[in-house]
Amino acid sequence: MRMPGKLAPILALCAMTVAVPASAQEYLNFVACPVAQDTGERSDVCFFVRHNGERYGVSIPPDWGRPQLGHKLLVEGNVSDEGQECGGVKIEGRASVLPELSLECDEIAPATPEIIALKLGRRPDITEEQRAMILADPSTSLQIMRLRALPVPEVALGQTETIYFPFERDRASGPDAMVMLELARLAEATPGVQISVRAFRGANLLDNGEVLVEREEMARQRGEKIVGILEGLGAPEGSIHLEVFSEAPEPTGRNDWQSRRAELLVSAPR
Amino acid sequence: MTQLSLNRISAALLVGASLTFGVAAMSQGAEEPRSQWWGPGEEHVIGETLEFPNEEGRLRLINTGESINTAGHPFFEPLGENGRACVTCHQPSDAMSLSAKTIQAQWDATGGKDPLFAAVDGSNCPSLPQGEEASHSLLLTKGLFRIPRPWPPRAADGTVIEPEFDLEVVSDPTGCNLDPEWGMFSDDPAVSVFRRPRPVANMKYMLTLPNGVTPHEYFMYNDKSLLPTDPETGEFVSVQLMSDGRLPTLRGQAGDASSTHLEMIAKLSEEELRQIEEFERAIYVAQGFSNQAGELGGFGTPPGLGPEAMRDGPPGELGNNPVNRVFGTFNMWLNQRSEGEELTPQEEFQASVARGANVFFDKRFFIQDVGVYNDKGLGNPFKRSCASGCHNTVLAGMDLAPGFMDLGLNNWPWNRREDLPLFKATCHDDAVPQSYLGRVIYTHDPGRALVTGRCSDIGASMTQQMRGLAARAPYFMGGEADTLREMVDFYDRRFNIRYTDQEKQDLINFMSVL
Repeated sequence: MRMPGKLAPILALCAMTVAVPASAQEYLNFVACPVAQDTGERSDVCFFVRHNGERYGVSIPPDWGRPQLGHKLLVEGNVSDEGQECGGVKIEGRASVLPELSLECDEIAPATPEIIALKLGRRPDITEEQRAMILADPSTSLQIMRLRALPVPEVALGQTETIYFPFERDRASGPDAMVMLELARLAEATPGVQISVRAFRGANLLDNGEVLVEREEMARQRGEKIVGILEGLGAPEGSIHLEVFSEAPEPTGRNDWQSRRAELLVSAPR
Repeated sequence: MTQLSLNRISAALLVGASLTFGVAAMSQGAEEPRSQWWGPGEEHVIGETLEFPNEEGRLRLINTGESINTAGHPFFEPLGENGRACVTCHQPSDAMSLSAKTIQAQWDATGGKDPLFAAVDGSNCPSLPQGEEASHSLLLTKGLFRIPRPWPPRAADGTVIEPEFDLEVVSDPTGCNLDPEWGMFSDDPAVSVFRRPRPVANMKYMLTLPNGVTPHEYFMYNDKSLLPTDPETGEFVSVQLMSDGRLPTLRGQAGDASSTHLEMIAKLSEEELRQIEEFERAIYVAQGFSNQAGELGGFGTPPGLGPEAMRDGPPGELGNNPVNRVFGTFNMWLNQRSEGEELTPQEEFQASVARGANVFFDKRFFIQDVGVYNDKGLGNPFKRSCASGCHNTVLAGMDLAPGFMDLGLNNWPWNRREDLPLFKATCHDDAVPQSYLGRVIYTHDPGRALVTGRCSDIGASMTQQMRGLAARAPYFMGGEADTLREMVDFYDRRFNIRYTDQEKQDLINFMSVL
C-alpha cells in the first residue's frame, strides 16, 4: 500500500495498535464509529474511521450524507492507493450513517500541525479583486454570488436510471434529485408515457460474517417517495407503475450497497 | 372619527414627521416612549414611511404599496368574536410582531381587558379565571400565545396523520393539556404548545423559493422531498412563513388565524384576503436609527441596514459566501480613524457593530447534535459560523435550506423550562428515530412533528428572520431569551463557542441595528 508522505506521522500513531492493513483494491465491508477530525480554525471537519489498526477516510458521492457522531458508520468500498482522505487511506465507495443512536461514537480529534498542513475542509476566501470591488462600492457586497448549479443530467426514453441509497434511508442525493426532475420533465413532454419504478430492499454481508438487513418496509418507502416526487414534478397521473421488492436479497459481501436501490425507466408507448 | 382615533393619527404622523425633520426627542434613548399601541378598529394612516422609537433607537417601516387608511382595512379591523384584529398581535411598533414589553403595558393600561388577552389563546388555558394576571403569565412574561394543535395530527384536508410516536404529558403547569375540555383527552383532543408571533413584514424573503440551494428550488434540502404547493395555484411554495411550516401561504395563514386567533365564525371574504395579502407583501421593517450608531441606511453606512435594503434586496438567496456575508459589508465602520486618533462614541459603537458582523460571519464553532440539521447530510459535527451555518439568507438571516431544526430550544437536555408543558414522546420501533435523542424524547414543544407526525421531526422548528430585533423581544419560538445577551449566551452554552465578553457585546450591538 502506498502511503502519502505527509501522512506518515499520523499513520504511525495509528500503527501503535496491532495493524492489519488492507491492501490496495481490497474490498472492505465493516461497521465502525466515525471520528470527526478538526482541521483548523477556519475550515470544516472531515471524518475518518479506524479499522484493524488502520486509519481510513471514506470518499463518498456528493450529498450522499456525511458521517455523524452519535451513530455508527457502515463502510463499503475498495481501498484506494491514490491520495489520502482525511489524513487516512482512502476508501472509494459508500458510507452509510446507521439510524440508531450509538452514543459511544463521540470522538473529535483535535487539529494537529500535520493535519492543518494538509489544508483540508477549506472554503474559498474572498479574492483581492472582490475585496477591491467592495471597497470601491460597498453595495456590491449584496450582489448575489450564487453557487454553481448542479449539472443537469441527460436522461432519455428507454434508459434506466438507478438511484442508490444509504442503508435504511429513502433520501436520494442532490444529483439523484436532478435525475428525477429531468425524468419528470421528459415524462410530461411524452404523450402516453409509461414510467416504471422498481424499488428494492438491501442486505449487507460484513467482513466479520454478520449480515445487516434493512427494515422490511424500506423498498416500499423508497418507491412511494419516488412516485410522489415524480408526480409532484408533473409526471402524468396514472403513468407510473410501482413494483416493490421487499424480499431481502442474499448478500455477497461485495458491492452489497447496490442492493439498496430504485430503478426508474421512462418509456414512450409502443 | 372619534377624538381618540384622531389623536392616534396625530401620533403616527408625528412619528412619521420625525423622519423628515429629525425631531431630537426621538433619538434620545433614555426617554421612555409613549404607548404606540394600535388597537383594532383605530384609524391610522400608513404612508410611505413610519418610525417607532424603541430602546435602541427607532424601527422604520416602509410601505411599498398605496397609502393605507387602517379604518375598514381587514388587517386592522376586529373581524372576529373576541374583538381582536391581525394588528393586535402584529404591531407596527414591534416590527409587526409583539414584544412582551408591549403586552405588559397593554395589560397595565386596560386591566387585562384588552382583546389581546382573549381566553382562547391569550391565556395559559381558557378554563382558567380570566381576570387574574397569573392566568396570562406566559403571554405577559414571554409573549407566548397558546397554539392548540390537533392530536393526532391532521393534514390540511383534515385527514388524520398516524403519528410515529406516543405523547404523554409529564408536567402541565398551565393545566391545559390535561384539561377535560381543552386537553389531549377532551372530545376535541389537542396538544397545547406556546409560541411567539412572527413578524409579518419583509415577506418576499419568507415566500420566495430558495434560489441557489442544491439540488433545486423545488426540493427540501434535508430529505430531498418536494416543497409543498399552494393549494390554490399549484405552484411550489417556500415553508419559511410559520415556525412549524404548517401553512405556507399568506392567504392560508390569514384564514387560519382569523378562525383561531380572532375567533371569526365566517370565513374571510376573497376581498379581505386580497387586501390582507397585499398589505403584508408591501411592508418592510428594520431598525432605521440607532441611538449609538446613528442613521442606519444611506450613503456611508453598511448597505444591508435599514428597511430600504430589505425592500430593494434580492429575496431567497444564499449569502453564506465571503462576498455577501449575509448582510453585506460593514467594513466602512472599522478603522475609521488613523492609528492614535481617538474614536468618537458613535464611531466606537459602529466599530463594535462591524466586529460583531465579523464574529457572526467568521467565528466558526462545532455545530453538533442539531436534529433535522446535522443529519441533512452535512455531518455531525460540522464547523461553521452563525452566518455560514443556520443564518444564511441574504438580508433576512434565516436558514434558506429551508431550515427546520431542533436547536435544543424545545427538547431536553439543552433547554429545560418550568413554565412550559413537558411531554414525553416515545417513538415507535418502526420509526426513524430522532437523530441525536433517539426514541424517547422529552420536549416542551414537538414543533414540526405536530404537523408531520414524524419522530425525527420532534422539537424541530423553522429559523426566523433577524430584522427588527430591537423592537420585538423576547426571542426564539418559545421566548427563551428576554434579551439579545440571553440569546447570545444560549448559543454560547449550547455550542460551547466560548465567545469573549467583547465578542458577545459586539454581536449584541450588531443584532441591535438589524
